[in-house]
Amino acid sequence: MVLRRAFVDRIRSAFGCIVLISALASCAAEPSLRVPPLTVADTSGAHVSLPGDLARSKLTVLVFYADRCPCFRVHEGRIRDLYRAYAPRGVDVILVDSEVDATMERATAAVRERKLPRMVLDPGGRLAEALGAEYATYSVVLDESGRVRYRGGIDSDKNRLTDTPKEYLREALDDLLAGREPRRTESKTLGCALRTR
Amino acid sequence: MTPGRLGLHEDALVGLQLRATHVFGSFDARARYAPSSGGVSEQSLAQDLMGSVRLPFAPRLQLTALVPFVETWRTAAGASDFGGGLGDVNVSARWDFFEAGRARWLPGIAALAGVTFPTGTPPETASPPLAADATGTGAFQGNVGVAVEQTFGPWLVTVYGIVAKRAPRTIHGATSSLGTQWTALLAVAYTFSQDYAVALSASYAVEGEAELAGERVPGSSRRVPTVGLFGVAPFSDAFRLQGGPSLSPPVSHLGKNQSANAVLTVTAVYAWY
Repeated sequence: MVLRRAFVDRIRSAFGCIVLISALASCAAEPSLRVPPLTVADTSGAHVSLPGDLARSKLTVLVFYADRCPCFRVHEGRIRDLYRAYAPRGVDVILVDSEVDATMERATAAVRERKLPRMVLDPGGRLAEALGAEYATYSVVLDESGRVRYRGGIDSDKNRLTDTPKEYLREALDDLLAGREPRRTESKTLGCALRTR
Repeated sequence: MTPGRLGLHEDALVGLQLRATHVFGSFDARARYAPSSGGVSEQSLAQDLMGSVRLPFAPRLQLTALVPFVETWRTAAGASDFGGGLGDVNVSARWDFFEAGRARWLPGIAALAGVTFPTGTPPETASPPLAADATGTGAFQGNVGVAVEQTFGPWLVTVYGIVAKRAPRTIHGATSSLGTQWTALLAVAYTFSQDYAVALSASYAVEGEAELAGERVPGSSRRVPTVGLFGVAPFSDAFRLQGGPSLSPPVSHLGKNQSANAVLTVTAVYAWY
C-alpha cells in the first residue's frame, strides 16, 4: 500500500514537472512579436511598408489568406463585416497571401469579385514566418509600432458558422480600442495549412 | 479509412464504428477464388469503440485506442452457430513529422505504430460446432508503418506502408506463429465544400508462412486484396458520419488462404478542437 502510494506520488510529481516545463517553455517562447521590416505590394496597386505604414491606423489586422481553403471562404462574410464595423474606429484590415502559388492577378480578382478588403502578397512567406502564421484565417492585430497584440483565429468556428461563436478577434479589437489589454492574446486557428514552400 | 485518426486541429475524438461483414467466397492455397458453396454462409457484425487524443505537450503525436465487439453467424453442413464478444483491443500512435499541404513538393510524412492485445477469444478455444464465438487471433501483434500524404487542391493522395509481426503462442502444447504481414494502401480522396469528402482506396496485404513448432508451414502464406469507397458527411464542425463499402475482389490470384468479404462500415465521430 505504501509502495503503491509512493508510486502514485512519483507519477503525480513527474506529470506536474511535465506541465511546469511545458508552461515555462511556452512562456520562454513568447517574446514580444513584431512585424518585420518589409514592403509588400497590395491589390490596389500601392505598396505597404511595414512597420511604417501601420502608423496610419490605430490598429491593423492582418488575416492570412488561402484561396482554396473552405474555412477562409466561409469566414469571408465575417471579415467583410469586421472591416465595415471597425474601419470607422481606426482599424485597417489587410489580407495576406503567403502561399507559393499566389499571384497578384488571382488576389485582385478575389478582392474585386468577393468584395474583400485589400490583399498583399507575401512572396517567400517571410511575413507568415515572422508572425507565426501556419493556417489560413490566422489573424494578427498590430499596433501602430508594429507590435503584435493578438494572434490566432477570427473566431471559434471552422467550416460551419454557428450563431454563437467565440469572437476572439473582435474581443481583442474591442479591448485594445478601449485601452485595455486583450482578454485573450492568443487563440487557436482552424483554417487550412498554408502552403508557403 | 482510418476512423480514429484526428483531423487537422482536432484535439480529441470519440467514435463508434459499425461494421457488417458478409463472406461470399474464399481464395484457396493456390489462390483460386471460389464462391461460398450452398448451405455455407458467414455474416458478422462489429461495434468498435474508439477514442483518440493529441497530447498537449506533443501536438504531433496522437494516440488511439480501439475496442471491438464482434458477433458472428455461421452456417455450414447443416449446422448453424452464433457467438461473439470482445475482440482484440488495439492501441496505436501516429507521429506527424510534416503536415500534408504545407509544401508544394514535400508531402506530409507520419510514422505509425500500434499494438493489438489478444483480448478476444482465439479460434482454438472457441466453442463448437463452428467456432462462431472466436473474436481474436490469440496473439499479440505489433505493427509499424509510414504514411505519406499530399494535397493537390481539393484532392488528397495517401500512401500507407505497414508491417505487422505477431508474437508466437502455444496452442495445444505446440508453439505457433503467424507470418509477418506487409500491407500497402493507396487512397485518393476528394473534398467538397463544407468538408464533405469521398475516397477510393485499394490495399494489398501479404503475409508470410506461419510456423508451427519452429517449422514453416508450406502453403500457409496469405494475400488479402481490398478495395473500398468511403465518404465523410459532417453535420457540424464537431460531428461527422463516415464509412462506406469495401470488398475483396473475387478474382483468382489476388487473394490466397483468405475469405472474400464484403464489408459495410459506418462510423459516427465526435471531435473536440
